[in-house]
Amino acid sequence: MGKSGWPFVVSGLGLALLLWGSTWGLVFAPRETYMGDVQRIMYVHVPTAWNAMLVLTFAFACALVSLLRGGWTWDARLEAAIEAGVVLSALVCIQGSIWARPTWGVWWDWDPRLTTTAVLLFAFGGILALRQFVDDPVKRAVWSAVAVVIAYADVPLVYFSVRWWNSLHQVQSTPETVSRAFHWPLRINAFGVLFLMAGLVELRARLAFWRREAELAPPPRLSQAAAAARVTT
Amino acid sequence: MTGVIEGGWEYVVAAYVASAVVLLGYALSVFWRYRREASGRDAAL
Amino acid sequence: MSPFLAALRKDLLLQWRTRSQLVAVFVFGASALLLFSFAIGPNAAALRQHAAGFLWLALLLASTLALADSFESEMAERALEGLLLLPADPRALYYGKAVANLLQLALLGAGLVPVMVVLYDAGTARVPSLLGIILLGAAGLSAPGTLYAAMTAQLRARNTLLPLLLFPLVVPALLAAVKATSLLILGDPMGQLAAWTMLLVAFDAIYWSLCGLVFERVVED
Repeated sequence: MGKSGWPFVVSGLGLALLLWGSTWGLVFAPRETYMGDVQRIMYVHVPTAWNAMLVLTFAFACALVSLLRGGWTWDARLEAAIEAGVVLSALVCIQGSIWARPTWGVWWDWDPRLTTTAVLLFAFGGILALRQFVDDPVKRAVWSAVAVVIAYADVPLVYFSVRWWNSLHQVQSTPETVSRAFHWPLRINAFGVLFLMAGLVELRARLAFWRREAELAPPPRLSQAAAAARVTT
Repeated sequence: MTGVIEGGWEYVVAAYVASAVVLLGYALSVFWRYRREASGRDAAL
Repeated sequence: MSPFLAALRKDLLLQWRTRSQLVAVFVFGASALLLFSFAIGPNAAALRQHAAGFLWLALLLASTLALADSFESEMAERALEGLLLLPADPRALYYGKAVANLLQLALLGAGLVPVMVVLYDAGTARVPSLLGIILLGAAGLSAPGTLYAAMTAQLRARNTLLPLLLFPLVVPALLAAVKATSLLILGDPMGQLAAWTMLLVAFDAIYWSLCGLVFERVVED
């Protein structure tokens, strides 16, 4: 894996876009008719949700390539994508909860998309835990890739079952957030999160790749080991 | 026409602050771990 | 005898020989049902309304024990490697184990029904339908459960990792089984049972094929 600096540039650009989009959405965007200022949460919530799904889809792609092609590059990217997916999913749930409280009076409104995100959070969090407990790097790569494929295949099933289960009880529904929101801050923040996470996933993947190299490195020559020991004492 | 939901700025601020904390926190975490591993490798090579 | 039937016969034989373990798991499930009822209190109407949910929760918790046990014998004396050396498709091994687990979980579920009827006053006249739902739900637990049991049996934190990986995955099957069971107990005026059953069947079809496909990668060396 390379060592070029492009991730820093891209992530920096992402942060700048987020600052711009968030300021616009927070201060300058018009106040929404029914939800008032609370609707401004959508300018961070929707971009985070889009990117969470995107990163998890990327993880699924990495898992497939890793299973079919092998090698450590795609396993490293898989590790990075799972971690980023868990972070973004957790954030989506936090944002969704903060939004639900003033809107519906409860901390969780069982919205199908939000509930599916919560299930995904636990599913992929579990896969992160799995990676921690497998010592053999090859097994770790294969098993976590298999687990990601299985978890991702579950997404439509989870969404559909929750939506259906939900619709039989609730009258309320999450309003069509995209059509009500003013588009520009939303798009800017969406690209902001995308660029930020793209850079971070690349850095995290390099980290994983180097750790794999260190794990699989052959033992050093005796003279090297002795020299290293002399340096540290 | 007044909105059905009045005020609620504390929730908006909470959501934006939480987002900033999580995103920046993760960015810093990745950055620091990357820096530590990269400098470790350079020392070993 | 086909490899699948041979594997199935092996696993059923193993289960028969360790049937005291199954009794212990059943007692675990039954005491879970009892404890859940304490969470509601002696409110007959509320108990009846939530009986289906508690039945499936008890079965889900008991399944983690049963599924983990199912790979116990494969881990001793490196028996799994020996089985994989045989000139048979590893998928036969998987499906033999998964079907045996399915039957065991269905038996557990069916056994917990009388406990539910007594504690929650939640019976149904449509007994064949209920048994059908239990079979389909057990199948939903068994397919991914057997795969992940094979994985986690080889790890240190196996007792924590199996439920951690399995529970988020089986949410659709759990929802569908609970709704279907609830409709059978409380009545189904709008005829929704068929739809939830279809969801269960779809989940089972997808996971029985997907997990069989990837099993070989999970147990290979």
